[in-house]
Amino acid sequence: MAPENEKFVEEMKADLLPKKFGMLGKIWFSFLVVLIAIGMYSYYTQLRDGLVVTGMRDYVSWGMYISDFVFFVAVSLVGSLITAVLYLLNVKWRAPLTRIAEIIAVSNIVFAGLIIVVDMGRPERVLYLITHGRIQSPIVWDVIVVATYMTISLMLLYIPLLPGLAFCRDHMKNLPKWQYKMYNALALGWKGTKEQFEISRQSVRILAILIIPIALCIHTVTSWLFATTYRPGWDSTNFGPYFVSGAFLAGAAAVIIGMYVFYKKYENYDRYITPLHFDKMGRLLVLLALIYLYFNVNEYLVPAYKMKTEEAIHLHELVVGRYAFMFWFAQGMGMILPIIVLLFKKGRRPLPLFIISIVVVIGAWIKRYLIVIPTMEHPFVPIQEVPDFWMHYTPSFVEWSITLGSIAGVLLIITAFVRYFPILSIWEIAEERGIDLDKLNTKLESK
Amino acid sequence: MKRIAHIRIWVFISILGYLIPLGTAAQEKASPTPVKTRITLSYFVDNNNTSMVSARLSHKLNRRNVYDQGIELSLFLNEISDENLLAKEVTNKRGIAEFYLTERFQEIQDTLLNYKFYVVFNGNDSLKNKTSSLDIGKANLEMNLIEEDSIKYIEAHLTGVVDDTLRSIENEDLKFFVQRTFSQLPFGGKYTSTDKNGLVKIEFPNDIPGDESGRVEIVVKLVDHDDYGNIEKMKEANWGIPLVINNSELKGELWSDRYNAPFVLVFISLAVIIGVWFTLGYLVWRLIQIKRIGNKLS
Repeated sequence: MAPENEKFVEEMKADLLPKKFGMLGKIWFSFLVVLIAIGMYSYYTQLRDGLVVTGMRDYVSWGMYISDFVFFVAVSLVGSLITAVLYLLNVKWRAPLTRIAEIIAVSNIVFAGLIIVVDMGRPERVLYLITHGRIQSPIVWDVIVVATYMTISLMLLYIPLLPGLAFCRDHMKNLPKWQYKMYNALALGWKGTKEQFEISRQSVRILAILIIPIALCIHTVTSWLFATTYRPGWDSTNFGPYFVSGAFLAGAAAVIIGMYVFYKKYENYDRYITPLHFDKMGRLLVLLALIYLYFNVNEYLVPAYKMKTEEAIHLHELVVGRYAFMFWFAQGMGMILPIIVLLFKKGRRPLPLFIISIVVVIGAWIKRYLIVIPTMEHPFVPIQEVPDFWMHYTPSFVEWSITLGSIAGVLLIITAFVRYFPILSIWEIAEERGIDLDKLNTKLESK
Repeated sequence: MKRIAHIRIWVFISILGYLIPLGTAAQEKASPTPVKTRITLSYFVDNNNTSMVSARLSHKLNRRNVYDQGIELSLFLNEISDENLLAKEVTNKRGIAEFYLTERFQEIQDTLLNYKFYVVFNGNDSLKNKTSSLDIGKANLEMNLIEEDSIKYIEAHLTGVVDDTLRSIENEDLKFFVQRTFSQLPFGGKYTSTDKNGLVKIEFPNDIPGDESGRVEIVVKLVDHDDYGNIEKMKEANWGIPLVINNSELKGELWSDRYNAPFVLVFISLAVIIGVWFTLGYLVWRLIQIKRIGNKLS
């Protein structure tokens, strides 16, 4: 091995092994735990008293939980983009980003599954979806595809992590016994042999191919939950690609936020996540925002041209009515602003890109809220003489706290992962920089 | 000066306006006055001759009836004493306590022609105690199904206690129904009163669908009678039009039930699901191989 490579390997060893949290990390961890505890208490009150504690009534029976579900599924799609699409396109610069993307995907898809159970008035009946489900129902397709996507995402996180787990097992010092046992068990006796690497590479390749159609399915099927229902705002054949493109945008922004946090807060991570990576992700974000904007124009312009009565009411509410602020924020800040700012190189520097990405993620959540709620408030056949509060939906404290608790849960999974596992893939970075893995492994073994 | 005087008056009124409700609230808190309650009683005899007394407890609030939930009521027969206590029940969310009169009442029932039920609520901090009674005379309703010249008739016979003797009851309205899935379908028209022999005979309509073998459940009722309460009898007969279930239209459609899903959809879905999960199973097997290689080297 060339001496400069040897030096690089030693540096990686020092830099990339997981480290204990400092004071800030502990405060962050505790903050998330508190948010989750509040969310869990709210869920307890919902279980005890029923869905009446939410703002949902007969008109709006899909509320904030469903928009959370769509949001979580959307963000989780980034795993397939970074890990699979860029992998198959042989894009080298993606190496330090893959694990960040995958843990974001896994944590989000886990909470997408959980929030659907939260939305159920009788969660103990969740198994009925399988025992009484009809294969013709998009809800059953969604259950199948969410479970499959979650499994593939977990495997895509786990298999490339094997060398990292072995690395932790062999090189981390003063480990508590349980932690060593955990690494030892999870590493599956990884020795870094040529054969093991070959199996690992082959498995990742298969998963990368498999996850792309499944990822497209998961969000297309989620969109069909709406599009197969005859309601203003949802009655569209455009919904599948509209959802998928929006999901890639939200997910890519989430990865940039993760990249920036590690780039800034972890010592020496700027050696691996460089301004070049931000620049590339910024370009990708512009492309995704442009595609999403195109589908948005389709989604709103065509019904606006025809102005059928119910569609007109729905559009009026969005554009100049009750939801105008949220609508224009989601469109302007969530799509148009990133396109304008990130076209300039200065806009793609880490800090501006990070800020833009936060705005995009907030815009993405608002967008999902706008997809679900205003439509529910304006059915084609309204119920007559209903109380006013049935017609207008305002999320209750229970819904807000469960939503915040779920977001905190997603962040807690990522935080806990970073605490115990290498968030940057040592071997992929080595490969990206042209270091022979066999030699690298032999070298590390002999140390 | 005049303006200052105005302000003083308004301040005084405001303080008064604030203090008076506070004082009232304090009084309410200190000594809540129990409100009057009401108990409404009904008596039912079902097809199995099981008797039931239903008691609804309510009170008035802002001129509206409020039903009291979770309150224990006691049912006595003939007089209020420990020996005559038949049952205790708690009211449900509609304020109703249902007393099913089983073994003990059945024993007494045979020896009596008239019953007097007392339902007692002992009161609590917010509700006044209340006792209501209900006088019921023994009655019996019988139903016979008759076929004459391929015409189907239902004959109902009502007997009840009059002047301490059991006799046929004349001029009482009986109601006839066919049991449907969610409710009862009335039939028989307007004139269904008993004659001097306590009998009503009506023709069964020939256009009522039954189940696959034409079976229908025919119900006859005496409803809310002042002396005898509610009595209901039911009999089954193969008098309905047999139901022919034709699912051929529903087979293989997207909106069919789960057993009639389109074959192509089922086939493709299963093929994709099995294909994907088989691949994932294969990858788990490859992981086991990684472990085996590691174990060999160890």
